[in-house]
Amino acid sequence: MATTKKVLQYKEPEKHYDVVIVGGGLHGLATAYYLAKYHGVKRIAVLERRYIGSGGSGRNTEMVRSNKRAHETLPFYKDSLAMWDDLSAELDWNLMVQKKGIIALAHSDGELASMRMQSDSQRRAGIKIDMLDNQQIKKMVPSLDVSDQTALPVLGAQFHPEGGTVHHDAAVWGFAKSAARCGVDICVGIEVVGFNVEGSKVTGVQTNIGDINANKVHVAVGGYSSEIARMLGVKFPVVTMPMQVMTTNIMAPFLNYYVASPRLHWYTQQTLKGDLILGGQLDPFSSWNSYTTWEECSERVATILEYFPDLAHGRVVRSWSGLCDCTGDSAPVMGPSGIDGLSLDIAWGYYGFKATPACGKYSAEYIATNKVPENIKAFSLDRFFNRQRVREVIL
Amino acid sequence: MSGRLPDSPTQIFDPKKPVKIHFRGRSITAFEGDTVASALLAAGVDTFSRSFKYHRRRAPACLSGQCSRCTMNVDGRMHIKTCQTPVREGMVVEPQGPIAFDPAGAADAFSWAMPTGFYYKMFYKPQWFWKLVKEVIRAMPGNMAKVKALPAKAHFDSINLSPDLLVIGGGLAGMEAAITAADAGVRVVIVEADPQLGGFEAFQAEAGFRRTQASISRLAAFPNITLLTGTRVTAIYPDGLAVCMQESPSQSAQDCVERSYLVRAGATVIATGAGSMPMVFAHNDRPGIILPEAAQRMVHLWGIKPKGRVLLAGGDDHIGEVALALYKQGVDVVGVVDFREAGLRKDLQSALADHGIPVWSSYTLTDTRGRRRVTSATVTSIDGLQSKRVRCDTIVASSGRYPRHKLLGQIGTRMLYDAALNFYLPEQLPANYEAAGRLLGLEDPNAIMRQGAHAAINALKHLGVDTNTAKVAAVEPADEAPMPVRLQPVIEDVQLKSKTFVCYCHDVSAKNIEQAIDEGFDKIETCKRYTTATQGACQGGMCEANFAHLLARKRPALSARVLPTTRPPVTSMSLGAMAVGYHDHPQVSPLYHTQLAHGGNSLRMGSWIRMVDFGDHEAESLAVHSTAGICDVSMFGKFRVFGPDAEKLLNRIMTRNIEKLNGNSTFYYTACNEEGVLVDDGMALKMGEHDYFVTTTAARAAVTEEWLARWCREENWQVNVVNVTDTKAGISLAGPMAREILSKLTEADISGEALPFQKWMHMEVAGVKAIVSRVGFVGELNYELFCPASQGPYLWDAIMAAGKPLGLVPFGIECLNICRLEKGHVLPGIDTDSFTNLFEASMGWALDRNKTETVGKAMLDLTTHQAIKERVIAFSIEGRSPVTEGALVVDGTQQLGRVTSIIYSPLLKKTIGFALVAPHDNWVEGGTVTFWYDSGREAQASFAKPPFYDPKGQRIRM
Amino acid sequence: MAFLIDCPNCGRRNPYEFRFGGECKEAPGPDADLNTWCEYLYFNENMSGFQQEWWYHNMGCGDWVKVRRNTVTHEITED
Repeated sequence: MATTKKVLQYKEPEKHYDVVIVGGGLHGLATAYYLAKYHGVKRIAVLERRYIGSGGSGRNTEMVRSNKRAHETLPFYKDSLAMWDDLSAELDWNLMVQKKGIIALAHSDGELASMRMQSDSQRRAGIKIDMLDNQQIKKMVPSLDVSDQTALPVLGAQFHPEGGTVHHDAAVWGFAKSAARCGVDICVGIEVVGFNVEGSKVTGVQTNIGDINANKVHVAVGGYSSEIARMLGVKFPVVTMPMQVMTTNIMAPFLNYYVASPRLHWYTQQTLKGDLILGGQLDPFSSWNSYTTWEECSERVATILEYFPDLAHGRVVRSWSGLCDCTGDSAPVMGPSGIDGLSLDIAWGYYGFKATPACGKYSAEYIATNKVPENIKAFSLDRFFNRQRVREVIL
Repeated sequence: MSGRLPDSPTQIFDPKKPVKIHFRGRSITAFEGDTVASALLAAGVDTFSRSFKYHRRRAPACLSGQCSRCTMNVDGRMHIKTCQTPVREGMVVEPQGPIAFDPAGAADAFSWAMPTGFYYKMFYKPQWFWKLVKEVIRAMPGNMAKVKALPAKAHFDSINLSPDLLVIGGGLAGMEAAITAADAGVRVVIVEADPQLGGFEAFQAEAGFRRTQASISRLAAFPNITLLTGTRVTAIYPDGLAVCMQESPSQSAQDCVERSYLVRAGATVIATGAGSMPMVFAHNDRPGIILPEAAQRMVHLWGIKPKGRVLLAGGDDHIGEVALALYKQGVDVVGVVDFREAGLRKDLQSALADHGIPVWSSYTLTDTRGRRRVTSATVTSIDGLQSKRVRCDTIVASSGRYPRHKLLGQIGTRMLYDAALNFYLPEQLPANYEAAGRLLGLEDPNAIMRQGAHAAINALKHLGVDTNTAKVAAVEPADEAPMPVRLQPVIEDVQLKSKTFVCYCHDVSAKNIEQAIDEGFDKIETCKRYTTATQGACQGGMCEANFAHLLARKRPALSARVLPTTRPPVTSMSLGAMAVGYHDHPQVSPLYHTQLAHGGNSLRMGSWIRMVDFGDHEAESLAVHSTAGICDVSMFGKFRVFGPDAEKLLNRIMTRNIEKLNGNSTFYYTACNEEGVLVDDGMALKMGEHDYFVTTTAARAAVTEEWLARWCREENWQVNVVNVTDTKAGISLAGPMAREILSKLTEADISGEALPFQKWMHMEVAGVKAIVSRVGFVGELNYELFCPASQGPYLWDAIMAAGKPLGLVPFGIECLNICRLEKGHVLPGIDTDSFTNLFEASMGWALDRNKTETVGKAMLDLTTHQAIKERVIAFSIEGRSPVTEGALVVDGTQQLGRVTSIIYSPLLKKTIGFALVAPHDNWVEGGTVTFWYDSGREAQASFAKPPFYDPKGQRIRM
Repeated sequence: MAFLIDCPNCGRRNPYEFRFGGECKEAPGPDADLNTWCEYLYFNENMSGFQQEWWYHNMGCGDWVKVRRNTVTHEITED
């Protein structure tokens, strides 16, 4: 039955907190939740300048997976993927987790080799992964053209059975609800405009409504990270680019898996509602404007239609884009910032959504203990100076 | 002609021209000029679709392309708006899902169990239960289209237009703008979503119709106006591109199902008009409840009498005018409900009274009844005290006018709510955009026309047309202020029941919205996401005003009626039509067809289609070593670099020193990026003073061109870089018999003394002028010939003819791969990745340490003494091995790297290859390389020092 | 508002005709240390607002142009 219990509760910020989290997206809310729930931190504020989940959290394609390549990062992604399973129960909120399986198509021998390598890396990390031949693909996705008549014929695929989707807004609200119930102050309409640093230690943030003191400040602002860098007088190793996504009219269920072509930069899945999500490529230039463009949308649709010819009369009803702050090595920056008390969870590019639970868990652990957890050591900011960049190349 | 009113001057169908269409297995007679929806309504069809969540019966509400209730499958195409689709002989129209009896309609009775966001609060414990439930949820939605292939002949097309002026909207304002601009001599495209011009005015009884006809005939006189009817402007993108979609563009060419017009105009007039907002009351979605424009269109355009007794309801004088007009056409009008205290204009009141039509002022609708369609309405006084039931079969209801503003949002113009007018008006438009007509809240036809002309004159000024001397009549802008619209007052308890729909697409009720606000979702964006209101197929066109209105009522401080963001497309566009302009053009070599004729097996690799082999790559490799082989190398990037600063440029990008290249020498070079990462390699030939011929890898050619241009621009060097990749064919002739074969075709002295290894010369081969160089890629005596692309096939055939008796065979890239691995050649991008620097690629020898200007040199110098992170190593396995590229290189649990190249060499009877690995003690002579592949199989190889074949390089120097 | 790039040779053109070359940066001098180089190579101002950047007109004249563009509004100005 209907309940009028408040799901979202906002607070006016106090003058002092133990931890201030900048950014009310998924990562910030999850970090606040884990800090409050598992580390007993009492006074936590999440500051959001617009509305919660207004950035990349609400503008992604809901994909969750752990099929990265660099072996030093795999335990982190594996952890994150596994955590989604229990979150609905933990947050008392249905995140609509669908481990429907992700099929990544290969169009060349080189890609097959790359996928075999990736798969073996993942298997060694305990992640379930299979290689599929065209017959198996056809059986799983009958509407997919695996013949040799397509522009770049399908030669095989990698199947990630535990990958799938999670409802992005549900995740935002689930974490927000539970964080608030653990005593976190979620403050919307509060824009951080600067940081107070004494010596080498952060002491608080400056906002549109005045200073807020904090023992620790955590930055989780998604695609907007370079705006924080400017407030701190530094640079981050990122470029902000939009990723555009489209959705279609409602169709009867015909696609049970998440299907992607890494080579042609597309992916598609059918949601519970029946519409298709279409997308997959970053815009080729930096932009802080979440527009959509004809060039990108029509090319994306064309490359998808090449493999799903029956969809020609399907209809696109909406498009949107989200900002991605991308590093050159397809890995994020987590942990110390170089300023005492100020921690980072940035540079998540277009793969931040799936990492939410682990980001929350490990960011909270770092903030609470001041020790960088093993699983996020590979994501240090220092790696750009000591030639330890994550070798996350997609071949 | 059954079911139609007597002929009237305003009708747009031709009762003398019947057209047969098929609906649910029966044949329906329509007429030319009908849309599918008008034909079905005339035939008495009550239900067009079932709703998304509760499977409620739905029929068209607007008949003007706004709501999504009339969408059906037409000729195999899904989600077609039948109200804007003209009938065509033999058309097959099918509802999407059961409409007469829909078992899922039971959902309607259980709506109490589905409060807003119920799915967030249920089904998730335990996990297996959710897995079951989600499959049920997937099968639930109403009006779901089936994914089925279109007939094979169906296709889509696209046309580019670049008029001076684009006019969006073919109503009075739009037509006047088009005429004014065309009269000044500019080229105009006017786009109208309906199958005919006229817009709102066309169905305002006879006077309105005649007014539009006058404009239509004036417009027709201009040859410089291109008219696109039945065409929706779906989006205006950031670069100014307006995308217009036209369904079934030609009656005769039935195969083209949708066409896009990509319009890039100098200026644009947006005159998209305004539509009616639905009224908010309980059960306001029943078939038979329609908007005023639907009733007017039915009566005036298609001669269809709204069914039975008709009740009208609204809050402006327009509803009274519509009531009178319907009455005059013989419609049984049972009353007019006006929620204003003052009620209708006096003349309307008395006219209605004269015909015995009751008018209830200060009353509103609160509820309806009916099963297949509406049968009665509850009419309640605004104070909520008086209530009565009125029997009726049709309700025409609207709570006011709402601008069709979505395109304005796409050009970055916000709509601001004017509290005094109760209307949304645009703020300042960007330069070269103008708005006109009912979109701005105007009502008076004369004012609308003047204002349309005025918009065109402003647009002409943007275009630089002298509007003083141009044949443009002086036009004053409309002096009429926008008509104030009364938003519907809401009677909380009786009107906002659970079946009071705000968003028809997703069955979102007023109660749902209220509940969401109570739960804390009181920002427009979170409320919209939580309730899913405004996110349906109609793009919020029907609901966003009411949605904002209800939100503002509950939270006046929070949202002063901010409208949700608009994003393309305004109306849906088919994937097929979107995809038309995109073409995938793989590159083929000039020798492609020749090689196919010689039995080549081709494969798309990256942007090129290349030959994998000619049947047996191992035999080909043995032939190269024993006799000779010929291979197409046309896909190499090829550049002519010349000019006084050519050396500076080449020394910038090459790690070797170009100044060491003298006479007719060639050398192999490598190139790094600024990180010192190996990105390219190729050959450089000195052609003359400050004049070089440079090749690059096939994949890198396009980037190289940019790369060279960038340095020229940064340094302002005087260099010409000409990309000759496509103009030259490349042929590699290799093997011990290569010289003998070549000498049959040329007079030139090609002896080892005259043309030794790493030298080149111009010569005629079989009469074809070619650049011939001696290279060492495949490990044998090897000539590379570059000639004009057009003569490549001839040269290939000539060489084949000369060489065949000597055992010459064509070979493909697999054989090339064997030969280069035998020689230990590392391929950048294959054996290295985007992190591998020159040292790690084991190619430090290619770096000229004395040359400081080399790109990447600084980083290489700074990291020289750092421990390397990974390196390319070679390995070999006796005999054949099942290990493939991508196999991991491991040491116990430690992952060291991966195999980048591996192939069996029939000559060496070994499997050889490269791996990219982390440093390890085993990388010494006799060390073991352990592979982990195929889910855990292991294999071993020996670390090796390349080259595997002819280590002294005697054979390439023959 | 139109998102178009000014090419000195070809006029105002659609951005997809170009290859984006990133924000303009000053390369480190001859004596720069490794940290300076790493900062130059991997770190960006990544301005939300006006920045000077490189665009290569690969579907046009094949020339590199420096453009001062507002990355939020896409407005382009002379510097």
